[in-house]
Amino acid sequence: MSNPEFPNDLSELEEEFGDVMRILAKGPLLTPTETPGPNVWNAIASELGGRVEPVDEEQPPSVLGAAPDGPEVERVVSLDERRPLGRRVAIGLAAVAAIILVAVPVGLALQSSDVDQTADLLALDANVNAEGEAQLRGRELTVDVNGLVTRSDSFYELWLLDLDGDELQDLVSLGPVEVGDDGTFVVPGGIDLARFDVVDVSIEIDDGNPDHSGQSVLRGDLT
Amino acid sequence: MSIVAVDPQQSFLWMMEQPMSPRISRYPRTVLATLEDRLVIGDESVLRDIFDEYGPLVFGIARKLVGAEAEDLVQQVFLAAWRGRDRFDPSKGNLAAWLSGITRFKAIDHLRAMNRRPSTPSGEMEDFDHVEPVVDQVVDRMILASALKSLPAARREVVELGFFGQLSHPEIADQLDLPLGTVKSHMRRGLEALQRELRGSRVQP
Repeated sequence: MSNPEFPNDLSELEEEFGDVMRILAKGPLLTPTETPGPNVWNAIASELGGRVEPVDEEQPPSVLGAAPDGPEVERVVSLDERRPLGRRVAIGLAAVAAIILVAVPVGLALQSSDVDQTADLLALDANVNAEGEAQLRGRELTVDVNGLVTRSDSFYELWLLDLDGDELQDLVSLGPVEVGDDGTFVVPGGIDLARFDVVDVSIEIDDGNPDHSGQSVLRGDLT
Repeated sequence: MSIVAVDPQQSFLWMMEQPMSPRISRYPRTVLATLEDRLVIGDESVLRDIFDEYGPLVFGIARKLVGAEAEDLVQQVFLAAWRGRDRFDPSKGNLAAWLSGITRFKAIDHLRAMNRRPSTPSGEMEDFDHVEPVVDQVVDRMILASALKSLPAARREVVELGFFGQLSHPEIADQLDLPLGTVKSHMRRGLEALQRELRGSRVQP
């Protein structure tokens, strides 16, 4: 029986998501419109005894959505100045990777928006309360993974597998996966998607070894 | 080689005990350290990055609840977050949820200390006998807006059309040119993500 509190056919979800649904159904949500002023950060920096750097308080607080040359607080002090060289290099590499991972798919997305195949990524261990979804558009694979525990000493990596039954024939890495965010990856042109039709998420330690750890967490068939 | 399933919580102990499978590599990988990772390992530079990223959210909640004293509350929240970073548990919600939770409880403490009730955006303060319901109302609507914004685009669109557009699943499927099953999947997973953040913001920090 439908619940008149919710629109259309959402009532069947009430038992699981009632809290969220009641808030959504009540009306508009609230979005922030301002950033805290630099004086707020400086008070925090002062309280922490100089372990973080203050900023120039001449810069007024910005309004979210202001023009790009507006007084954004984060522009006052370069983050690079606060980071050790190793971290700067790592972040630089990450930025390059992010540009490749984001910019290239955006270009491709302009050419193709229809979903060709999808894969429900399910936990391989029944004790793992996590799942994900992959959508393939042309050579662009968008993956959203939720529920996995994030740790500072490990990360998750996305792979395409060529399986013959349960026997692994070959595999290719598409890169690290951010838990809770959707990431878009380009499948290299030389990869035959008719063969590499299994999406796999593995847990990896940051040991410099670029190969699959042999430990998969989520997996699903592209169909 | 074979690939086996593991519980990520136990992965390191497991890895120490298991013979490693031979590895096959095709492309190099790059580690993208998240704000959550950097907070957990105590990277001091992360606090400023977190402030830049989530300052507007915390400030927005504070402005709604304590008005002119919002800046003091924001300061308290970020100091508490830094000093309590060992208690941050990503499995219970992301940083937005955690910081919103700290803001929720700091605001309640602040309002109680001031011995007064908060005002709401619609000026409904006379409808509430206690501080908590009004604080919850503001924080819940803020954190859900933030969580909704962070959903994958297709998932967000389905949730918005279902709740704000008052469309049925078949109508959404028709409008977005998606299979009905995909629409239902997006709706369920979207609500799961929103629920996780909402609950994360309600955990006592």
